[in-house]
Amino acid sequence: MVKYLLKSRCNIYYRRLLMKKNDFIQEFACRLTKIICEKGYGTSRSKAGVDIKQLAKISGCSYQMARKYALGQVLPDIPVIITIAQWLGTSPSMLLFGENDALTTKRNSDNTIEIDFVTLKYILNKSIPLLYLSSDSQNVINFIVDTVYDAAHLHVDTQTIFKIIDMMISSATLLQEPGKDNKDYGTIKFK
Amino acid sequence: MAPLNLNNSMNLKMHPKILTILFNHKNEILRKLTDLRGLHYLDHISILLVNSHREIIILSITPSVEFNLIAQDLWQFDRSFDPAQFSTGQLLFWDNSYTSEYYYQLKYLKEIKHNFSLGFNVLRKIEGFYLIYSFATRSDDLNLKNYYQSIATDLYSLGDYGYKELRGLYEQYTDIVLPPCAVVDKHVSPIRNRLKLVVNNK
Repeated sequence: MVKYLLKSRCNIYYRRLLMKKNDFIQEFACRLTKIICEKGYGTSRSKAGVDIKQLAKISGCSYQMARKYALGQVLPDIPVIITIAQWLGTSPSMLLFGENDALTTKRNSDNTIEIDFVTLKYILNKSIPLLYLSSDSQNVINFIVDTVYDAAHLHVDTQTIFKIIDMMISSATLLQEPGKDNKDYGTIKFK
Repeated sequence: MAPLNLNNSMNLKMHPKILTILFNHKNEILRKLTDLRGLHYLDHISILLVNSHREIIILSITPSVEFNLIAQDLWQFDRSFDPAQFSTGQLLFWDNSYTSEYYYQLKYLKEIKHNFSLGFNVLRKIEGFYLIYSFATRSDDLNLKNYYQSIATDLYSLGDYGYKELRGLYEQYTDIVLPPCAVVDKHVSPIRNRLKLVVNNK
């Protein structure tokens, strides 16, 4: 089952690898103009169908450059993409790749980590034995926080993330119980 | 042991179990490298070993950084994985190592996603092996590049420390004898013997 899920995910990535740079920029422009229109800045007066003047103002660039962004001739620099994403209320990932991260994976400037409820609950449930196995609770807490961080930043499907969480938690329980046999979680393969 | 011929860098390959290796030792790596976090504002440290089979083995304190690139095969478009791309004693900044075709994907997955303001690698070559020490920071200091270039010797030392701590783990995944810790101790940093320019402003 996991292998099947990985295979389907792999196909998506493989297609992405085959995508030429120009296609990538064009797709970026399509998503950009679509979201801009949804935000009410569409117009029939420009070839790109969006208010270029407004886009230029937000991007801090010239009208000509903003027009190139919207027509898929140039890809903005990363800081500009972030600014545009914030203006549009979306993520840079959505503009660049057309998808939000597999899980919400934003580490904010105030040092917080965002993670979906189901994954967090899964990690905490799996971590319960650690609290009994170790006398050093601070180490356990540090480990759990780090596991949460890694899980929140994985760019894969939820099933794979759960499998990786199992491996990470297992690495801690085995250290606490040296005599315990290494449980086989299989390997993670994409090809 | 014959040294690597990395003229054709595409001959490099990931260890078959690399995706598992990254997470199987999470706790041990965290315990052993956690002291390095915060030193010189560093938030991420990983050590990449290229053995004479041209296989890459990575142990990382933040494995999600490397995982996302490897799972999507994007690492092949990131020259910081390739020992042949390094100049002696120089830092290779991540930002300069992405191929143009996948620049944005790599920049996003490796840096923006993790809120890193700067990432860079240094190369250590020991007895036919290549060790690439990888670092990243979230510091917002504007002069980071100059700062890290000025403390390159310290960065090598941090990497050597990490390698010595993790050497036992690497041994589990390679049938080749790894450079012993003593060799790393004796190894002189490529930049250590350079003359230092002292300017007296008085």
